[in-house]
Amino acid sequence: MSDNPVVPLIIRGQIFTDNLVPMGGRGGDLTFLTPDVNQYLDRLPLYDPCALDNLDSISYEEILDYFVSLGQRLDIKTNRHMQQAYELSCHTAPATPAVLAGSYASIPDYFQRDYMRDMVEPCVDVAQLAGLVDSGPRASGRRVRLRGYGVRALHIIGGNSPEGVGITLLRSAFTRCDSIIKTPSNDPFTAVAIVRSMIDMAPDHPITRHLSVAYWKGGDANFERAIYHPDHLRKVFAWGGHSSVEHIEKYIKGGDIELVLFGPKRSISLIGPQVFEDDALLQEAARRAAFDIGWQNQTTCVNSRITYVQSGTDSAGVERANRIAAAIYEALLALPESVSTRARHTSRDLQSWLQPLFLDDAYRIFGCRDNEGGIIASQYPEPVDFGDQLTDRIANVVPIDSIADMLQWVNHKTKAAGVFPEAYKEEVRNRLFRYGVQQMFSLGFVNNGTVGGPQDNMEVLRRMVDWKMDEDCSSLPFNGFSPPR
Amino acid sequence: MTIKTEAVQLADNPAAFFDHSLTQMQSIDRKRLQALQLEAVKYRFGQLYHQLPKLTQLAEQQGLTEVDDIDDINRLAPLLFEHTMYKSYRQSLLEKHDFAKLNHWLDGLTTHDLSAYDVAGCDSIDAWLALMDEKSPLLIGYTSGTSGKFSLLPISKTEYRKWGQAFRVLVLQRFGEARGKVKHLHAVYPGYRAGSSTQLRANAAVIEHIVGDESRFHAAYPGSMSADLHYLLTRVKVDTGYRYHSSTSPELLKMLERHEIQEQRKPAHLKAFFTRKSKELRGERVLIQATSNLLYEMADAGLRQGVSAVFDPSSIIVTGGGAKGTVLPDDWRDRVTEFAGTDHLQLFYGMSEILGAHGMCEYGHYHVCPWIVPFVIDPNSGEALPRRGVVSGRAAFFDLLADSHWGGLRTGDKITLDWDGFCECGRQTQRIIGGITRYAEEEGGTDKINCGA
Repeated sequence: MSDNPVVPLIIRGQIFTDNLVPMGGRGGDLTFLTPDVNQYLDRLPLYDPCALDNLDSISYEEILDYFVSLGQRLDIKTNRHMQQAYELSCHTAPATPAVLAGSYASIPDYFQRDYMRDMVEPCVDVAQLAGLVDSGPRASGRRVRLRGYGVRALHIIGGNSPEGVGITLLRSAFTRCDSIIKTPSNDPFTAVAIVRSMIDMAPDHPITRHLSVAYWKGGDANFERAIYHPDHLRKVFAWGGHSSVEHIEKYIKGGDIELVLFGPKRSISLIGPQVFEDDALLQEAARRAAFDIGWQNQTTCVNSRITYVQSGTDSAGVERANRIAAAIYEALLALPESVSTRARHTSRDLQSWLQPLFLDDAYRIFGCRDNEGGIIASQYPEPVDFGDQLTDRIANVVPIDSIADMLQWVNHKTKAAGVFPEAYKEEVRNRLFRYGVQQMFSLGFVNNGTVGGPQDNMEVLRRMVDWKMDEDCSSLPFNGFSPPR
Repeated sequence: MTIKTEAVQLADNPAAFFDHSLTQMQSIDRKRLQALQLEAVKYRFGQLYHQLPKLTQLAEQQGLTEVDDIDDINRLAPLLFEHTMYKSYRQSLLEKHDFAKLNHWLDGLTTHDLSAYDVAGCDSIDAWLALMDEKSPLLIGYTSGTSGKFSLLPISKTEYRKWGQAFRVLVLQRFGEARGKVKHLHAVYPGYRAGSSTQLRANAAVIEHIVGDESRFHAAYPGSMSADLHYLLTRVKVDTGYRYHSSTSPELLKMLERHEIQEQRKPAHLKAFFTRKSKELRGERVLIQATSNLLYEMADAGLRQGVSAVFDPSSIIVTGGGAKGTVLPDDWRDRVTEFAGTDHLQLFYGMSEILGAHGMCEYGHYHVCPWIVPFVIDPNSGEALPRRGVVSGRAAFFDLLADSHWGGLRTGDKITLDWDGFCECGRQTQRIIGGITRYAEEEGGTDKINCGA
């Protein structure tokens, strides 16, 4: 047991490494040791909501300053917590070491001042997160003051990409929440490393003092019954959809605790007919499409799984789609290591779906043989039936005659659509949004989404707080029981 | 007789090869069996290679086109079909009832020519399967997985017959005991009497080969399970809104509603069914096939009313486990045998695609049927692991009995196989150590959270 890494439990600035129990280790995964959270039930929840008051004393600018300083300390070249987390994550994360290194290198970017301002300011009036704001007299004469109050929150985060940790920390601080981050078994390390860096930097800062990071095995009934209690928990934010909350829904049913689910979602690409008029345009479309498929080895929800190409579906049309499929495959192989690599091994489920496709003239397969990724080019206007399982940079190119052909495969689980060329958006936008697509971007910008935008059809920052209202009716005469006129 | 001739006999009729004796099946010398299996695999490959288009293509892609290329059993591993092969048709074809195209797809997987059957007039899955049952040499069976997509298995009537003969031996006999004259057997089955799922098609084999007469097969639901309804149920399970899909006819929707009411009443219905049958068939020799939780509920209810030793002591209980989430007490088997009055409780490990069932011995290990050649596959590389020692990996099998479809299959199960050891039970065949899991469950794992999962 002594060789297994220890993942500390962090409770509001304090680091615990006692009461260790082994965790993980399923299916050949890394086993790690972490404190048994059951021993800390007396202090993990924040029992007194007024303990959040100390966050009111810091301004929006101070929060920005705090994270700018933190970002400067998260350089993996110098930060030993980040180095350790990276090395351990190589054993648990779905991405390959090179791709993971790229992700870790980009973590400090999340803490650049402009990036953070873009994330917050378009979404919410920052003053309303810091205190009651008078919205001026209403027509009836009342004065109304509003505030989005930070709450005691629990975040069940995803482990497929370390960026989710940065976003969660920022959202929590800007909304002045007290947050418990429940880490997943596929990445129990990154959140701990960043929060330890916060403790090193500013151990007594209110932001540091309102973050906890814990790992427990989802389904630990004794613990979960206690932690998911409306007396000391207001909201739960869960990435990964139903699978991350199946154990806990029984504790939060009835809405006593607000449950906010993110995903899981899948994303698509659309390529317009214009690209077949100009080979340079086709090549550009292919490079952009390959990037959106291959970035981070297709481990995230914004990665494209299905690329619909309006090529026509007669034999000439299918050939046109095959031509772009071949070009996307070439572009996939040319992606730099920090963006995308060959998979350690292609997902077993996906491998088993692939074998029959090689024997079926309904598909043309580019690559997909040797963990290098590839493209399944449908020879008829339908995506594969296992589109949800596409990963390890294997995607499906589907020829269509018109956008109407593919709407049947778009629904509320379709997160993003990358579109090329830009003018093609005019044709597809409204119908895709109506059918369920949540965000649209220019093809090739999968890693460059607008952070201030909605996630899964929600304004998350506004959703994270409780909106409170103080009505000042003192200018109105008191009517007793008479109905107002 | 040369080993080649013997190998052909083993493959072409395993039950006859072993003189319809379970003891012989499980006592064959291991070295001899391995030699026979190698020859039999070559025989099947040579026979089917040019007749099964999907196999031809796969063999060409793998550069294995000559029988003599198979100089070692593991050389066959690249030619084993993924279990997904049988659901690699386009789902839209089933949805649009385009059975001509489905037959065309099945043509790649069977030696029988299905292009001649006019299925254009079939307006339901049931109608298509009924027509194929009647006119073709096949009994196309389906299985419903968790993925919401049916596997469609082109198993022939001849293959079912041979399997029925072998199944009779596996079910009726006990290892080490001589075959004796047996009295009539009644089968008690807590499901539908008929249907086109591979599970329900087995009922016909039980009647033909085991109980001998329709009147001695007692099903809790005497009718037939509709494949269209089953398909709808499978889809609704993964997508609750599917019931309102445009392809769902009003009649089918009514059927679904009736089925849902029936499901609600099922626990009470089955309880009454078992109570009734244990009275009607008191003292008779019975075969009960059920999941362990159903067996336990039946026994528990009976024993609480002071009823025990209900059936003839030569009765047989067959179960594949499948407690479906319920945790049974440690003594569930004792309770079941006490109630039933027989100690012959047999567990099997098997799968619809393979015409065999590996019986569990008294030491808790599954012994591989001698006409089923096992493989253990490296779950990551997909290559066959060496056939020695005790090895864990993905289970794959080659079913020698299959003579009109390809018997090679890679499953999604994780098994541990003891290649060299001999079991204390005395059976000479290789054993799969008890405790089989699904890779799908392991990959999902607990607590692996992904935003794109």
